[in-house]
Amino acid sequence: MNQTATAVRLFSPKINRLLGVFAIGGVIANALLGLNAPPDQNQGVLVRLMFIHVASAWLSYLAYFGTGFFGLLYLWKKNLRFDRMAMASAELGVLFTISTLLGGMLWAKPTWGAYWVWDGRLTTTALSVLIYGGYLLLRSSIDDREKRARAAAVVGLMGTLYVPVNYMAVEWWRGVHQTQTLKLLGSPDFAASPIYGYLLLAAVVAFSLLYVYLLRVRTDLAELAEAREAREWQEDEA
Amino acid sequence: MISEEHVLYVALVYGVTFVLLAGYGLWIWRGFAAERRFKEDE
Repeated sequence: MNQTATAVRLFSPKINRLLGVFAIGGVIANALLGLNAPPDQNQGVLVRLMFIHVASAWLSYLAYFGTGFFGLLYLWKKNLRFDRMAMASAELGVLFTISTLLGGMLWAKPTWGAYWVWDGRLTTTALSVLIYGGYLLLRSSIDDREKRARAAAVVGLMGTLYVPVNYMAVEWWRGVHQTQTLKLLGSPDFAASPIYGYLLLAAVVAFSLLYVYLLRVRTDLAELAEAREAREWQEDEA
Repeated sequence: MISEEHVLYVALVYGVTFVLLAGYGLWIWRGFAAERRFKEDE
């Protein structure tokens, strides 16, 4: 671990632990509130899934953008801490995309009558697991540390270009999936029941905090493992 | 009227998400524990 690597830490482990408590507490509180949300006229109690499904999908988008962003920072600064952050971000992206897909399939069955349909959004989401799964596989297949970081940064950046395709899939290829719940362009319509809007916003904030917390923890673990591997390699050489 | 089948699906989705999250948390925790053991053995 070098000085530059230490310098890019935004906050101390103590603050990150505090952040973790807030994030996990927020996610649990949100789940409890979401599970008690009033039934919707069309969806009935299934509307309660929105608070976890949309928040999970949001976290996966955030994580994929993070992979590209930290990869770009690595290419610029040549600091391996950024590469570890990119790896941690991709891992979180894959985890939460799997959660989004499984949750979506369980929502699809009672709504559409099937666990899976080849809808634009579902297909592009499944493809993002392949892209970022491939990113993680690529990392494990390159031994040279610098070369691995460089190749991963390029693939991570290219993968980030795919995220808007996944987001816009519901507009470009209109299928059975509803249009965006969280609209980046224009304002969401929760006029019929504003409580849904506030609850969803709280879920998104809680999941974003969880992302920041887990990103830091996973990056620290990767740093410890790499330092050990470097020591083992030196011992073998000696 | 609330559909019991729908309640089951809601419970499953929340359950799957939290099990995945807990599994990942446990895997990270075991990783830190293993690194600590390696350090002690050195």
